[in-house]
Amino acid sequence: MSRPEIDPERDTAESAAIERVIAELRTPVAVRPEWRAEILRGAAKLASPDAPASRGVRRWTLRPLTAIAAALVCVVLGATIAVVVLGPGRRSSSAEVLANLTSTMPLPGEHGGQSTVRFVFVAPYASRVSLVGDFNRWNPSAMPMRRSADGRAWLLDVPLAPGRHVYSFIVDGDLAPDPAAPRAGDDDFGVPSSVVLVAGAKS
Amino acid sequence: MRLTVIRPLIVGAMLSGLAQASALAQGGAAPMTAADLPSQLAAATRQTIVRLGDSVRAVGLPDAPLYAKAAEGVLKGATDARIVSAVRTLARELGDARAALGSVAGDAELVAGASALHVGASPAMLRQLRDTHVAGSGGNTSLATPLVALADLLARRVPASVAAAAIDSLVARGAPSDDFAALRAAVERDIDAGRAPEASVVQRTQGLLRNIEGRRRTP
Amino acid sequence: MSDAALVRRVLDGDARAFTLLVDRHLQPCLRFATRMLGNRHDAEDVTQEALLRAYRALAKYDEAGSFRTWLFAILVNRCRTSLLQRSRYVKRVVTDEDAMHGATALDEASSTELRIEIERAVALLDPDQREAFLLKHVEQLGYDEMAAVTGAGVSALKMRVKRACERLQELLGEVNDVTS
Repeated sequence: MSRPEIDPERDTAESAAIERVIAELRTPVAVRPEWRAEILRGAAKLASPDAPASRGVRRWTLRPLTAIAAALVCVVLGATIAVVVLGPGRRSSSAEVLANLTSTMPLPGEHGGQSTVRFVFVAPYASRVSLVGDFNRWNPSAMPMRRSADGRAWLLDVPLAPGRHVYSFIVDGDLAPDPAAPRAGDDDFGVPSSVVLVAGAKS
Repeated sequence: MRLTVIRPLIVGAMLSGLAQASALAQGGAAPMTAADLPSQLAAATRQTIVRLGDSVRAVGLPDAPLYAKAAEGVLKGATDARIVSAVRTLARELGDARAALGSVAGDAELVAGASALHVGASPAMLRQLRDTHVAGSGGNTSLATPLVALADLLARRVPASVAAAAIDSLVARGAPSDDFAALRAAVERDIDAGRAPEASVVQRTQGLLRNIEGRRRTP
Repeated sequence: MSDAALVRRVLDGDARAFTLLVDRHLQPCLRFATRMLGNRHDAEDVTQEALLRAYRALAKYDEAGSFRTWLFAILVNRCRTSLLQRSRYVKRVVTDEDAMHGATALDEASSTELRIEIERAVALLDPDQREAFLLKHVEQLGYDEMAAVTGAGVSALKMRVKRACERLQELLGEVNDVTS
């Protein structure tokens, strides 16, 4: 720990007013017990810090993500119909289970030429998450997502036409790309979006 | 920043979603039309975009991507000028994609092709892929998946010629969509682990090709 | 027990050690965030994010350096991010009196008017200057620590602190005259 340096400019900069300001600002801000408890609960829910499953959320500088998207390693399985269905009651490590939960993926079965894609976004502390993309005119209120059973993630199943779709999530008012999906390389207006590809008949 | 306008979200709708076992979203399907352009656009801007959409439609290209791009720009707080520029560029890229992929290319392929062009694929690469595709599977499957995979690799700074060659070799062998997705995912893992993109692509592609070969041999 | 030792315990799976670590640093983090962002709600969000990020990245903490410095680097970054988004900061402080009174009710009692004046003045500082001022004089980091936390050079930081002090003097000059 370094001690505060003797600052040669200090004498000229300090004055009674400044001292008063400092004293005022140094007043501790009371910690709400419920808030503190929330933090500790939050940490308890996360994988322990040295778990190998963690991968940092890719971030960007201009429109940062506020929600804590615990981005776990995951493979976006691409766009075929024969994709793993999330099975209940799988006995696997928590990292694996969470990895499955975080992939946005097409689900088996087709509905009138469309495939259903399950969008997933991990954000245990968010109050609201919605899905936006070229399939809903980037309308933030069109597709609100629902919480998973354990409350850690947000889910939504969307029927999509075959082809390439660009999308993003809105987490408590802020745009966030899907940490587990490829980035759209198109012009994204400086705010990254993600890509999901739905295979199907040649359209 | 336009993002502030989206803050008052409808929390009620969110909460009701919790009660549903499977919240299947409605209508992700209807393609966008000019009428769906967000109201935040200035009249002049809207007109420009509508005209661009009209001209694109007139030559048989899909116009929905243009409107979607405009809507994306509005949501992300871009200036109108920026939005128009992005839409113009996309219109041009769709045209270039069609020129390279041919008039039988479907909308999904054109959109995928445009995205590949945007990240640096050359029209020649797209033409090559088309030729390979036609010669191989006879064009029954969609080129959208290989094109998206190509765009992905390019976005990850894989040297263009290497990316194109890899995708081309997979298309030539009639690789299924899964393989392209697997290639992308494997390359991403490799790059994240510090491997050189080029080496990763070459090696992973060879692995996939071997698998294809292996599957062919076993009846 | 030192921070480094607590971190080692956490990495070994001792959950209680994290509680101790949090309790040690929660106050100063919240204080910095509150003064930096101007409202408790945002400050709580940002501090919470920072602590959880720190928790997830705990394996990357290098024991050779100060834990507080490492943690504050994360917190400062989160605050900057938050400010970029929430450009309504100044407006909120100047006009949203009720929120301010709500925040003060939880804090130690002191002259409310003076507090509001001071917080307004701090809000009017350039973010870089505010950040440097708070780190130096409120959180009492040394300039080397501040350099590690902010990524700025020591002389740049000294300049920012100096300018902040001058500006605060200007803004609070009237208050000073009245009360001295």
